[in-house]
Amino acid sequence: MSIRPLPYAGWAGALILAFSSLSCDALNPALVGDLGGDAGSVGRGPTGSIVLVLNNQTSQELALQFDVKYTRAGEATTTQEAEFTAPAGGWWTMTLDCDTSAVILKQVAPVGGDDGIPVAVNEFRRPALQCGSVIFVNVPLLGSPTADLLP
Amino acid sequence: MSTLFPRKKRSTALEILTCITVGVLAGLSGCFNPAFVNQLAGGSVVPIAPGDTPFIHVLVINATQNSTVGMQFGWTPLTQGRNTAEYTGIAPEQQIGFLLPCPVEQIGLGNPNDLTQPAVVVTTEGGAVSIPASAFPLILQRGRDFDCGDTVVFTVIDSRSNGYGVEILPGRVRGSGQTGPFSGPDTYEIVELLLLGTGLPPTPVP
Repeated sequence: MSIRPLPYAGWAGALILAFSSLSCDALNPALVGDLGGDAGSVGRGPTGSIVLVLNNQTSQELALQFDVKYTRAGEATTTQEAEFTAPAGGWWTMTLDCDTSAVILKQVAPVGGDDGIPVAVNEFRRPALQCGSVIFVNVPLLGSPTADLLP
Repeated sequence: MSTLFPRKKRSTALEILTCITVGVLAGLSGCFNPAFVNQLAGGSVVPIAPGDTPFIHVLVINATQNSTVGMQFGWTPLTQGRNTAEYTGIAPEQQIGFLLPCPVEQIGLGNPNDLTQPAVVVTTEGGAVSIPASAFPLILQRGRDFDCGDTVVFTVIDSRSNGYGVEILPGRVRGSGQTGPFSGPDTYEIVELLLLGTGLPPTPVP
């Protein structure tokens, strides 16, 4: 009996191997770094950001309260509560990891005050939310806060 | 057999087709981590530094195995009436930061208004360790350590060389060395345009 090599068997093997590695774990940047002997010491470098901007046109310092969901390849989603403030008549930002899979805005509240104001459109999720996106929360002097996702 | 496609050329064409198929299907699978793709592409998918927009990006990378990190920063001069900011709850493998409008002369760890406050708080299962600014006297200077358009990176790593269990490595991504155009969103350009549109523009690059 003879074994005949299948035509293009090498390519088929490569194809199967390629897709078997798409379990995501194999593509984890930290793992790639570990294999290179580097991640254990310094981890991965900057990878791009999602920027959250609070533009405060009012006359008092405001805090933006929100939840961030992180989904890393091959891992369960985790949720963190977060907050940052913008000065009166100014803006501030928080830059988030590109592993951010959702941002849920809870409210904009005066610093030291009790009553917060919810943001009308308040959930931004993948795939619309992507690495490099900007969430722009604008609080006008008069009227309700708005939030936009760009692009 | 077709004479238009000799056997050798058919084989080559199939190999090329296979490569393209693998690439396309892998991309469509959505399995690639966007951050990983951007890192592999050297930041050509999205920018990793503000570049020619008038910001400095201050970024904390928690590269520890199991520690949650909080950090306080100070800078000169005041911007929008502020010279300090605090970011807490940064989990392992997480990157969190903020943008400062140019010009900024110095950026350092700790609260310049109250040096008794911890500059870094590291929380593990064993409890929290507060680290004073004097433990990591990092004061970065414009022109020497960073320029407008850069991302200034503070990477926190595990360390046994001191009593705090971590070390902080400063670094930078030069905005001037960043190559565009980007195939993804031009993040900092979008931020600048949005701020310009609301009448609260960042300071132009000097």
